[in-house]
Amino acid sequence: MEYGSTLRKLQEIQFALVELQLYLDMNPDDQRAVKQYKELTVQLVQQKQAYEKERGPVMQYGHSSTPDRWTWHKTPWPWEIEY
Amino acid sequence: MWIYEKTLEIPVRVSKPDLQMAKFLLTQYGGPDGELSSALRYLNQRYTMPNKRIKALLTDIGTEELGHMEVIATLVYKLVKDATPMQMREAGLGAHYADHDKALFYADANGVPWTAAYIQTKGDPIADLADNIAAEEKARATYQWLINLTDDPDVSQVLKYLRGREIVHSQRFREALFMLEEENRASKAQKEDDDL
Repeated sequence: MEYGSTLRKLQEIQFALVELQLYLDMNPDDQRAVKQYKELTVQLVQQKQAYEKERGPVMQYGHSSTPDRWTWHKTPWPWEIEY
Repeated sequence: MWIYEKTLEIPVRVSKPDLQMAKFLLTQYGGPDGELSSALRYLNQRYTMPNKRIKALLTDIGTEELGHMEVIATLVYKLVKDATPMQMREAGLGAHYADHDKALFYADANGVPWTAAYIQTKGDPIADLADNIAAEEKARATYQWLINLTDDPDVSQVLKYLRGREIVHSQRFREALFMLEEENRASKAQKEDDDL
């Protein structure tokens, strides 16, 4: 899969979760939103794994799976990525 | 604790170098109504916010604003990266170059450094929430003025997205303010009943 599309899909899921998080802060009793949040969480884990397989860890401090060779410093930073 | 994620909230692309636009955009990095101000304002208000929902909201919006700071930084970085010093000078960034080269700096569009005086914290939840709504509306207006200043469709798209996020934040803070006022009214009515 193309670099851009894996990342874009990841960003879409991340954005949906940000938006839902803010909504749930003020509407914690909305069970439909909680269900959607949980579904998106599953998608996030899968998409993050797909992206990390291509491009290395997304998160620091052990929150991403670590490849045998350390790559955190090598993969491009968000401001360096060309879309 | 915060954990860095090596992605932007949205893809950022620019179609051409635009140094003047970079200068204007800096205000949303380190200006009065910029993303640094918003992030620090909300994260700082959390410690004494009495309401559980609003503490969560301040944490989550404050964190998103940190992400927006990186979106603005990326726009500025990409708009400036291939410029020569003379081009920066012609675009009104000569003073910036003299002090910072191409490094970003927390300042407004005129180069005035960021100050904590931009951030309001009164400790009174109603006052702070009303102030947050105003802050979001000022940020929304700033994004509109910036959209009016660019002819780059890629830059404009990012700015329209950020404008949309400020509207959502404002709505969430309005809900929070409304909820607190309702709670205050209810507890006042209860107290009056108890006093009878």
